[in-house]
Amino acid sequence: MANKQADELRSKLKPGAGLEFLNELDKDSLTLLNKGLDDAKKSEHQALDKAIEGSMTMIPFLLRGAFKKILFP
Amino acid sequence: MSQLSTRAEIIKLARLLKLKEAQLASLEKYEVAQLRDLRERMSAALYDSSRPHLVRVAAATKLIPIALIAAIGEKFYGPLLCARVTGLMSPERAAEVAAKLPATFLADLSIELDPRSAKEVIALLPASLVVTVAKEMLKRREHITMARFVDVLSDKVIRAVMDIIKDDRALLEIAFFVESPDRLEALIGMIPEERLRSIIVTAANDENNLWPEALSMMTQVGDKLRGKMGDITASLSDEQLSAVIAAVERGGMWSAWVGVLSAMSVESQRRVLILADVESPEALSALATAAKEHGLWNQLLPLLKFMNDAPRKQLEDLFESIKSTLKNMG
Repeated sequence: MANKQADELRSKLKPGAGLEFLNELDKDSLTLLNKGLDDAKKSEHQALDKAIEGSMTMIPFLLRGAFKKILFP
Repeated sequence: MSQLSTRAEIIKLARLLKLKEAQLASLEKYEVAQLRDLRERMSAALYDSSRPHLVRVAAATKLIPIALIAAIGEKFYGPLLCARVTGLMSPERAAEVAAKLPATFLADLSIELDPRSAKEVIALLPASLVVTVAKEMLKRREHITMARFVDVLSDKVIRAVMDIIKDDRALLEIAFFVESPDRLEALIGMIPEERLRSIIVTAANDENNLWPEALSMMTQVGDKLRGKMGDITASLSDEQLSAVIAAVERGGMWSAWVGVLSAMSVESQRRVLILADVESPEALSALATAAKEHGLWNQLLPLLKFMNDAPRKQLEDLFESIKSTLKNMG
């Protein structure tokens, strides 16, 4: 089970040598690292969506079209 | 000494994942290089997952005036996203935006920023702005963040920042968290001898046990600088030096201590060993064990001549017994 979680974590990271030590970690630690990474990604995406939406209200009306074109191609 | 750097890596990883340091305690037994690799790959995974959006945001900033970018960044994007976009903007434009932002926001942004991703932007910032932000970070005791910037700031800017760091503990902690041994060597090389002495005295006297940080600083630099700091340590008062040896013993930092001891002048080695001899014979046997465990026999052997007869005999017996055990093991 722990090895499966180690593989799951490795699959989310840049491939390459190293990180073999993840196989030695217990299940709880691997769950924490996997969940921590997933949660951080999720909260970053949500914050970015919210920021883009909010920033549109400050963009001068004439530039909004060009802005949307760049941000939402 | 690696356990100290490991702790620093765990703190950084916990920050990245918004976890508490204690939650990652199970990682303490791993090498610092392994943890750094893990953290860097996790940081890259986080950054890469938002990168397509961030690239578009950076492109959009070309359309609007600098003051408006700064206002939008502060109001809507916040420090984390601004940090992510910084390295994707043209360095000149990003530096101009930075000049429009308040120091408190720039300090928040610096905590989230991977300084290596924004090297060119940082190089364009005036020293006065970096110093203003550094003051804010010092107020918050953001020593980990300040250390990360040592790798990318010029020596001139580092000197300007060091001038405002009056607290020896702060400077010691910053040095402890610096990642690149080369930059650490450069940083310590910039500290005048009197200040270096003051830092070492502070570490020796500190109630909160700052000696691990001081020892970490000593072990990561070259022999010459290590010897200089070792000599300063050896010139402390008997009471202070005994406190240092006690801290080494408490922290099980004998292998690091042997490394520092071996770089000291002969007079300093004599003083440290004689004092250790008087104060704590158990310390000597722990030191010998550390030397054995870390393959540092050769560094310790020439120092035995400074010791009194009893503990020297004790160590010689220990050496012999280990040698014969190894021989029996084939």
